[in-house]
Amino acid sequence: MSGHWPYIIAAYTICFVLFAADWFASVFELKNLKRDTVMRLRRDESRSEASNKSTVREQSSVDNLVDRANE
Amino acid sequence: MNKFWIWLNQLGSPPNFWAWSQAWLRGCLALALIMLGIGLYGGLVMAPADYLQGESFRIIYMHVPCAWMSLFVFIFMALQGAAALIWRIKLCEIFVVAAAPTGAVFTAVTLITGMLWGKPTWGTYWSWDARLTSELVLLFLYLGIIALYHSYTDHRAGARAAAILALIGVVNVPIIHYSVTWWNTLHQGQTVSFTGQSKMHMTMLWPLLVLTIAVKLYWIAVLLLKSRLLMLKLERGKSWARKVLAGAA
Repeated sequence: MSGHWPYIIAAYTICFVLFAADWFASVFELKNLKRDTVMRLRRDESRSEASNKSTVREQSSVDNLVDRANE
Repeated sequence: MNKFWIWLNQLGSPPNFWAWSQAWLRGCLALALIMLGIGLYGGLVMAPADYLQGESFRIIYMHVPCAWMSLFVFIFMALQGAAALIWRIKLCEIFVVAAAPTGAVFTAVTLITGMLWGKPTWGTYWSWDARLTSELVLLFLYLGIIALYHSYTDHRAGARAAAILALIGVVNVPIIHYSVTWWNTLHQGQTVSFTGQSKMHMTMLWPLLVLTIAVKLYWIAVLLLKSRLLMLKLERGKSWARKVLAGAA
């Protein structure tokens, strides 16, 4: 009868490995989704900041030209 | 529209679902782990060996709850699929898709633990009998639903196709359940009955019932986890989802 224990251990090991794989696959996917979204938000923010700066720079150079023309 | 339907619709709206599901997920997982510990101790340590099968009968403590869950999850998917097709409720579509992988895991565990029980008991890992074959068909149905959903680029179209396949495939559930009655199978007949007298002694039965509840609670937790993930993926562009994703990191 003790020869049954390898089958029992194998059955429970496979069962828990599959359960854990199913659970952690979703946990890691959720973490990756959060990380990707945060990275995308930061990239968007830095892009919009850069575009704002260039707009300000362009505007100030236009203002300078207008001032010089007036002078 | 009566108050119940309004409440149900509010409960199923993505931001509300996100809010209430977190507490349920944690609660169900914690309870599942506690009950799993108690059930495993009862089944592997406290329960006496079977007078015919010896120690190998202890495999049923995981085999039977998973087998019940493999059928239960498919019925759940078919019901959610019907609700998704009739009322076009987004959460029902998500539930159909989110339940399938865990249903496939339960079915795979049922088949594998059954094979590992069959070798010392029947002398063979596999036999093409009605119960085993119909359970294998169930695994293919789960895999088919997962593959069908992923073959679509549009989530809603994929979820509806999966719902239709779940509704067709649910025919297999009574076939699996009654296969041991309708045909002369190698697989044993019903041992545990919720309506009549069970053929198992209480010293062996209680760990099985505890583990059945534990597996069901684990399934609720994993279903909520997968549904939350799927919902965030689909609602990524919406302000509430952006807030959740940006705030949680």
